[in-house]
Amino acid sequence: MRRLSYLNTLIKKELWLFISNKKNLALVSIIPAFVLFFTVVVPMLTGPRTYTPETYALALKYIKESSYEFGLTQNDVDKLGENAITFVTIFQLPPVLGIFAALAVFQTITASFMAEKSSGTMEIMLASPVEIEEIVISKALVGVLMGIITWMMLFLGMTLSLEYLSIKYIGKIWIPCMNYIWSMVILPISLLLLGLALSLFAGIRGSEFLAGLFIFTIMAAPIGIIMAVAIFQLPAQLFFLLLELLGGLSFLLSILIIAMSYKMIDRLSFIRNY
Amino acid sequence: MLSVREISAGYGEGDVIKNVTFYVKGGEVYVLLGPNGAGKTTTFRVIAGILPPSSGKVELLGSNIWENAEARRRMGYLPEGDKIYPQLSVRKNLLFFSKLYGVGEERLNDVMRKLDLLKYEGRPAGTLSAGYRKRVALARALIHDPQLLILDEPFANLDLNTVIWLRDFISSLLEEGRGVLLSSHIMGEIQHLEAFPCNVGIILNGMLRKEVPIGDLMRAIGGVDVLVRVDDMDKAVEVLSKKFSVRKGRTGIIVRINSYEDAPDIASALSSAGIRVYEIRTVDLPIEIFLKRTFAEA
Repeated sequence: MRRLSYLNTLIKKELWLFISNKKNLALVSIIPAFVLFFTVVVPMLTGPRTYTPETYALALKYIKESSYEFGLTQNDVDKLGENAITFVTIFQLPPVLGIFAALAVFQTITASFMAEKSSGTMEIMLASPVEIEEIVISKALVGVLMGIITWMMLFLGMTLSLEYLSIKYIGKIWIPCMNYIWSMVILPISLLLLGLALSLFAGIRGSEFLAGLFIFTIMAAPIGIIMAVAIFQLPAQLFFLLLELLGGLSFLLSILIIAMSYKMIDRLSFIRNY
Repeated sequence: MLSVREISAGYGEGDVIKNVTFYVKGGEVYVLLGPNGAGKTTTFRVIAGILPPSSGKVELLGSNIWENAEARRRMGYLPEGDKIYPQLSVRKNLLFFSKLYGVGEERLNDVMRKLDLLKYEGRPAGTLSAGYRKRVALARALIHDPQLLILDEPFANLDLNTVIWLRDFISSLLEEGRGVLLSSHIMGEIQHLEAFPCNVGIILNGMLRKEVPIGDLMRAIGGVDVLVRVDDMDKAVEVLSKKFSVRKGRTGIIVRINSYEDAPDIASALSSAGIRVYEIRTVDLPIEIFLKRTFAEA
């Protein structure tokens, strides 16, 4: 890697461009707010009112049998009462959080690459003394920053909601368990990395088709896990195991794709499609 | 100043340009003339440090720009079109590049003043007229005070006023002793360069076929054509034919004038005859026809 003397300036420019694009701002502010509203606020306000007596009993049984997986004791579940269902619903949302963090990274980076290629400003930067790696790194860093902001918003929203339920009904601060840390921190960061890797690949290759395909990939796996759990009534233990596998797989895949993308970086890849 | 020696380059499937060689001195302009797809932009991309050559050498003031990226600081590149960040303000567009080149605020303001951009500094660059967007792009190319300016089709898609302004501006750059390398397929718009040391390289199918002094080229052209659109075409033809060589075109009247400086005479002749003028703009003589007509061997 050669000197990165222009990185600061390039990052500042990426931030200017990001802020000036309303779609980007919506992605890291309005969309997470909507997600939080529908996944946290609505379940907390309505509780399990939409459940039939059968599904309600089934849900409580499921929670009691696997309370440890959610960092709760049997006693905590009893104290939470019907709110245990809300607690567990929020607890099982991290795949959604990961999707949105990854999408924020993906959208920021691919949009930045595509815009610069199509407007021809990439050509201008290549004509300056800036190193090509600096251009890629600046875009990647700003994308990751936006992914982390999205993740933080959702993470804080979900964690504070769980703490609120715990303090109100159990009477103590809830200590996050390993499952929570894995699925709220490690899984989203791993998906965020996948978003970074795929966006670099799509951005460098300059393919909108690839970009669309990758968005589908990012969304399909976590949503598939949630749906599988709901449809086949998989035990909580298996749900968290699948999330761990997804996290590990996406981490390995990310490293592989980032290494591949790095090898593909050359001047031609930035101007061929233009 | 600039030495381009036997460069060949392409986009992965064979070379688009082959063994292109030419030289540009300070205070001199070199025009690369050729039809679309001839290889002008590819040649400029190699010279500007964008597209690596498959062979050959580009040296600016003795430094190989492909071995020493810092040598690119001595050249300014204006690609075809605006190539600006449309959503950023004019100032931010220029501030970004001034920081890349380590240029201070004072120089930034000077360039903006010179190009009459201070009044629009806070506006998103994409909301400006085509002429002013071109000024922003030109300001960006000049921000670091380069010794060589590379202008790819600088006159394309500009209104007549901006064309005249740009021509004068290029003249002022040449007077300052800078080297200018430009490409065009509109011969009438390089006419004013006759006042400067200027060579024209004719590029066809990726190869530089001929180099001629601009004087020889201009004598072959014999004037420039403008298209005039008016409310009363027949009356306008009658009025204009007293002063100019005139013929009716599909969308208006084609008037042959010696240079664009004569364009205001057309407007005044028509308005004094009570004819309403909708538009006066340049007409491109298709370069293929020109080359066939003028340089049969090319």
